[in-house]
Amino acid sequence: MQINGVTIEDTFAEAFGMRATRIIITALNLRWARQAGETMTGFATSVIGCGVEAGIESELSGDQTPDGRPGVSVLLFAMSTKDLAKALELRTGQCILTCPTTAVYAGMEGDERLPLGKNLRYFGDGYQISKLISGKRYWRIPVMDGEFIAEQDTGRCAAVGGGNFLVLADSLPEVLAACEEAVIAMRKLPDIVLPFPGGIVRSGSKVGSKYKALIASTNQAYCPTLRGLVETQLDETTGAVLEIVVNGLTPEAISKAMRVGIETICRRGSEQGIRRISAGNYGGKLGQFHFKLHEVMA
Amino acid sequence: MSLILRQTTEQQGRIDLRGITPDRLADLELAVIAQQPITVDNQQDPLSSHFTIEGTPSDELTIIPLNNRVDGIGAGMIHGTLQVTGDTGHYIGSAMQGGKLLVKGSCGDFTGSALQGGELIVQGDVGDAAGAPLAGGLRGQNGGVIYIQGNAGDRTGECQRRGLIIIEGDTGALTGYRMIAGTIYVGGCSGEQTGLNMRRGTILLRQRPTQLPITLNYSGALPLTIITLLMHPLRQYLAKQTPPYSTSKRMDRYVGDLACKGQGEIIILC
Repeated sequence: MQINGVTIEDTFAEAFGMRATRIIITALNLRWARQAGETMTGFATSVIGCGVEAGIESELSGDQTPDGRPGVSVLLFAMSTKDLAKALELRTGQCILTCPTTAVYAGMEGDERLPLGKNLRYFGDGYQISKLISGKRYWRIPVMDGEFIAEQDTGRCAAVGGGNFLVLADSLPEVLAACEEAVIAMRKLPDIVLPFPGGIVRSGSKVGSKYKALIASTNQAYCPTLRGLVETQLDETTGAVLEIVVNGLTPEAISKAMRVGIETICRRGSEQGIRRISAGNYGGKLGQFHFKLHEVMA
Repeated sequence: MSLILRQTTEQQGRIDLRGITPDRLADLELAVIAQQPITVDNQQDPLSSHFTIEGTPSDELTIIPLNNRVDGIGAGMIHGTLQVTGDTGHYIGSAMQGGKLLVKGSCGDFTGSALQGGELIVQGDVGDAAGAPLAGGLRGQNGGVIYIQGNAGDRTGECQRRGLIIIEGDTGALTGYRMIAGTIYVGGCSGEQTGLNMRRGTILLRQRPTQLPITLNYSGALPLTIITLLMHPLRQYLAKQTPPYSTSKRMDRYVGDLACKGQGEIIILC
């Protein structure tokens, strides 16, 4: 398949079932809401080393939040409910509770719940106040700038992590510019996050390593500096490869995000140095979700 | 079509309609409904001896009393809709668990006392002890909403444990007396000793009170984010009369009652 001179390889992205939750962070202004969101989702790129993958899903205006203040919605993904609950509690306590003017609310309904303010309330040392409003319980924890408000719990759901595509281009500036544009387009979509720095990954990995302690290591087939040394996936003109990884609440959300991202990159076309779109997989044996590039772009 | 009970004979003393609720009548035949026992002037009489029964049994029930000496309407109601046209007596919606009870008139004392859930709307005034505990009880309202469009008497929200009481008009003395938790909103003037012996909970006052218990301490003028959340259910009832607010507005807040080591709060919205 070719789009605007860019080859879409006949391969697939292999993704995994995960557990996810959404929270809403509000603050006095968007700057501080975003600050809390960015702090909370820092060091949350991959479950391999961080235990959780997270990102800011969208910015919210006052009429989209429970308390009428501007905010952000954040999605967190983990391999198990236990891991997700632990990460949520720690990150809410260390990154949102500590951030000036913030409050945190559930961003997801449903019977399956994860504690949000339920345990954080004990920071109030007995001075915390519970308010049950329209069937939802909120905790008011006294802090030095007033009150930190945290909803009792938030919903969780089954989700998908690890949707991805690789962009192969003539040079690093060209592939970086194309991926930056794709990330902007993809981040406008609901129900997904791009957990890596700026939404872009340069260290695509393979399973395993020559070193026994590592469960993942560099994907040498896509490293330009190893061309000539190893069996490579790169032709002589490819100067750099970048990857965009996308986690979503549903396979449909990931598929749509991949399509939007690839379309955006392909608009630049081969004239701007974009050569191929590929995807990362493990032979289809590890992940239960396969996003075939030709089907995504059909 | 709903079931309509219309009072036909005026009693000397009081009628107690406890048990005459839509959830209990919905599945009964009209003949059986007619024989339901009610207390009239301290004696047991069949319902039909004082009320005509019209319509079809359903989740909707309308009661039309002749005077304000008909007590216990909607007491213990679990679900359905009950409408009362005219003034009523005491214990209206007492220990109600669910459903909607609308009174197109005024009510006596103990309206919504020990209310557990559901929605009780009174378009007129209510007497003393709205949302208070039943006799001998330790807890008043424990859920649901009591919305009074007129004025309320003394001890409104006494020992309230949970839920929301909205009074558009004035309240008598001791509003929120021994309040345990929950929220009370007063749109008009609140009477003396509002919040006395409150343990926790929130009392929102639209108008500045002339006097608060000496054992409630002034906590300062603070912007409170929680006000926005508290306004959500209020907006459903007060519509255009919702007090103006913003998350940055500073509001006077009093805390206590220190006499009982309480951590309740009174927030002045004006």
